[in-house]
Amino acid sequence: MSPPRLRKGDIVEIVTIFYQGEDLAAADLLEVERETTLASVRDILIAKHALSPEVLLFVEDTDGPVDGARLVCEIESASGTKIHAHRCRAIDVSVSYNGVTVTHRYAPGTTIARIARRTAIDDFHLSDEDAAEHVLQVKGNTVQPAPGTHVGALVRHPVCTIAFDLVPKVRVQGAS
Amino acid sequence: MLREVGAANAPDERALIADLAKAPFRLGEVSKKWRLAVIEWPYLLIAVCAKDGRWFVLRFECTNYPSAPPTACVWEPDRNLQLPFPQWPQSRGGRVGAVFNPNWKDGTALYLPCDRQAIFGHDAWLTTTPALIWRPADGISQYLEIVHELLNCSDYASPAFPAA
Repeated sequence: MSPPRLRKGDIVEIVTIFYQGEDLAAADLLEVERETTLASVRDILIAKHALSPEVLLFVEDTDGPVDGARLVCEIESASGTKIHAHRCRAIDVSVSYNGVTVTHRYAPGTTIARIARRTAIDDFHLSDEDAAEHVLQVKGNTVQPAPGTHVGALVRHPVCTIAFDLVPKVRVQGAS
Repeated sequence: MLREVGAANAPDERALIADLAKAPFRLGEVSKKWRLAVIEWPYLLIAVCAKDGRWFVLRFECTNYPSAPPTACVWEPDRNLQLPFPQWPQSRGGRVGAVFNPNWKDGTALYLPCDRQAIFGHDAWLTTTPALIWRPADGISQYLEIVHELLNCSDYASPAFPAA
């Protein structure tokens, strides 16, 4: 059954969606009605950014693409409704620390903070406190993505892999 | 309180206003990492939340934003003065105390590579702390992310004074 048509004077509730994705230089936002389907959101993003029609949508820090029939209100979050658009279904993420490298598969909408924490604690057995004093740095350069960055934002299909080093956060030195 | 912004703003003010409307800054507000208090160009007051629930107000000076980095200090909005040092974020001897350092320039700027006052004369930071160097494309949100991370790390300690 199709939703009732809106009439002049009707009040609609708007949700701000924060999104990142493949080929997007920075996080962006979009305001849509709460009853909008995620398939429609996907269409809007494809049109707005000339994305590939093959992109899938992911909710931040969840596995697997979302069902396009779901409504925005179903994924709404008080701390920000955050999605990701990417052609890769999953990304193989390698993290190296003290000469050891581990690889896990994550959805493109997984945050750098989540990957760093999981790897530091589960794979390299750092304490909570020590894990919080480390950060992921893209292997081969000095880029340390912000904790809220989605890993998919750093990867371009068809290369669905990325490698990081887990490095200590640096204390600013030199004050006199 | 957000001052209504007129139409005839200079390019640096327009650039800042544009960045405040972008996703990284808005998401920081929604996530309760920070909140905008006042814009009185070229000054900007933004409160940043620490892990103990205290909000520390930073007073940014943003002339020539974003080609030049802003500079910020810890502020007391009610008295419109720099926050007294004992009420600053405290450190357990690590990263927080290096940045919130009352002994550097009398506390008029945070000792951060992304701060306009602090970067001056610290060319070595370009190689020792490249991730903390100002990135105009990321703008004010980069500075705020760095400060928020510090106020929520294990080295942060609450000041002895009760929260305002």
